[in-house]
Amino acid sequence: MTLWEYIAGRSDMLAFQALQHASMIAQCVLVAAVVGVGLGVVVHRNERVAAIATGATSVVFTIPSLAMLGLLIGPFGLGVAPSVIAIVLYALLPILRNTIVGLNGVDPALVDAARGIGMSRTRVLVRVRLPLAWPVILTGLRVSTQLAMGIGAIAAFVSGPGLGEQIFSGLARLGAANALNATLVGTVGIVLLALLFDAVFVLIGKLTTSRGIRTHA
Amino acid sequence: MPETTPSPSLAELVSENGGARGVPIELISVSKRYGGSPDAAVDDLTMTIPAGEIVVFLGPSGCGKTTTMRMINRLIEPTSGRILIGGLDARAQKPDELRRHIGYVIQQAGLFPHMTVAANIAQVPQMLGWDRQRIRARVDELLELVGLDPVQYRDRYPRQLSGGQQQRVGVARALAADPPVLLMDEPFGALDPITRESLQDELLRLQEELSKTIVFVTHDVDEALKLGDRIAILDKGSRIVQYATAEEILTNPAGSYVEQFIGGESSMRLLKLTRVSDVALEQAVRARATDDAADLRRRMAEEGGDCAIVLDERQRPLRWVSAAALEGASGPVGELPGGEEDRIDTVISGRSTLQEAVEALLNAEQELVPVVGKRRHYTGVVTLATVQQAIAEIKERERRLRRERVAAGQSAVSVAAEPAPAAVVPDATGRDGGDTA
Repeated sequence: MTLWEYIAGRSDMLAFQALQHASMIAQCVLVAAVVGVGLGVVVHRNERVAAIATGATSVVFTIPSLAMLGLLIGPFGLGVAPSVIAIVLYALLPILRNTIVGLNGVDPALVDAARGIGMSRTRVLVRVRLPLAWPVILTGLRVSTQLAMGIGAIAAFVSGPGLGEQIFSGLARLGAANALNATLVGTVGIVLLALLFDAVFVLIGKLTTSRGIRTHA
Repeated sequence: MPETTPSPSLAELVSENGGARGVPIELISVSKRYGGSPDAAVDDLTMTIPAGEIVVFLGPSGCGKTTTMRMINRLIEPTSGRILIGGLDARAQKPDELRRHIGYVIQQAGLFPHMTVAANIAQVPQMLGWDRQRIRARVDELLELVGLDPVQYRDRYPRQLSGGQQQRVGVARALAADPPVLLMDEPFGALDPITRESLQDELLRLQEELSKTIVFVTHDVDEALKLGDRIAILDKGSRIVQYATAEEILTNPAGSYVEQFIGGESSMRLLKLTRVSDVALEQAVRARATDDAADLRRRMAEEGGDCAIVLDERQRPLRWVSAAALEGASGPVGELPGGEEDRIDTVISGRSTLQEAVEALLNAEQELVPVVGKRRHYTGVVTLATVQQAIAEIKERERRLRRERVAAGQSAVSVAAEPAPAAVVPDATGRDGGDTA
């Protein structure tokens, strides 16, 4: 059976798995973004706490994803729960770090000007710091999304949803009929999804970054 | 003004006051100490900044001038002492609300790069809850005030503007809610000399119109002398070494510290400070082109002077006529033969400085240069002797003031704005009189 026949024969299931994969990544990155940006906003002004926060997420980063998923089976069992938790944990670091770097990278003179004309701290954050840090934060989101795509594939190891299932089942039956097809479809599918997500981020960046600070206006 | 019933906040004072006019600022025994340092950044400073004046804080970096300024809008909280703005205690007001009624301009403007020019200017009005239409109208008004065409500039982003244009927007942003007080922290420090010069002129023009109380921090002596109605020369710990007009600082500097700061050339600097319109001009004999030469010769003999100026029907200078050329001549003056040296190519305006007048005199064919007012209307002539006389008079006036101060048992140099003798600030009478008097 050729690759095309394989895809044609299972188009419904593959589409469903791709959709599942995309949906899982989108939701996980969304959760990671809310937590990461929120945490970054809270800790960025305090150097020590910020260092602890990035340190903690960095530690998570050093754990191989396969091991992490395995460890999560204990408390959370198989399926969606350990997959989502693992992906969120990994996606957190780039977002948190870029949020902190972005917020602290805002020119102190601008913050001084903002305070000097009577903006409250909250207003300075919302009107000045976050918009100026936004391109950096967005880069963090992009990196996190790419990362989450890959880890999402491995999540099939704990019976997580998505295209990873194709890869894992293919690899498990290597040599058997359709094993290579399954692996290829899973891999290429994830790459395509990653490219699609990245394109979406480029679009979001264009739409949400002020013309005044865009690098290519 | 401070005697009126105290309002609880600057915002209310501003609305009572119609916004625009400056209010006095009083610093009373203000000190600022930082934890790790044994020396106070600002050490027991007491000073009054009179309403509607530009007061320049001049001093070397680290002398505490910026710290002092930042305590006025509470970006830095004083360790002790009181600051009254328009008679109201700054500490009794919420810092954010206080700052919305104190304009703030910093070096390189500090415009928000992600906002358009209009949005930058609109920040304070937005916080004050103005409606859209009012904000839009105000933005356009301010852009015109600072010399930028609203149609062309309102939707631009800061990076699309030159440094000078950015700082104009910075000033517009500070003026948005028509605050009575402006704080300017080395606003023109990063600009090239030509742009700086033109923005300084612009600020003086604006101030003539607006009469704000302006606190201006700089370490540039020329800038201080040019802009300051008064200049506070500060030493370590924001100690006032001298707090006086430019004329007094130049003619009667308080000791070597100030002398060193000014760096000599005080008479040349006086020339730069004094406007031609401020000095007593001489008058040449006036003539019309249709006047009879013999007549004119007689008048010149009566009034003295060996040179007459020929004006056209709108009082604009045309040419010189010397007594020698009139010798034995008859007929209309306008038909006398005139040489190269008789033509008037150079006139100076009353707004020129004496320095410019000297420059014109040194380049002129004649020993005098006509001074013109609006529409080249002749007002008098200036000679080197006029300039010399003017400088001598300024020095004499300052000597007299110094004697008066000493006689009154005060220090020989001014260290406080009070009492403000009217003669010290010749143009103060034209201002809104919001002085502490």
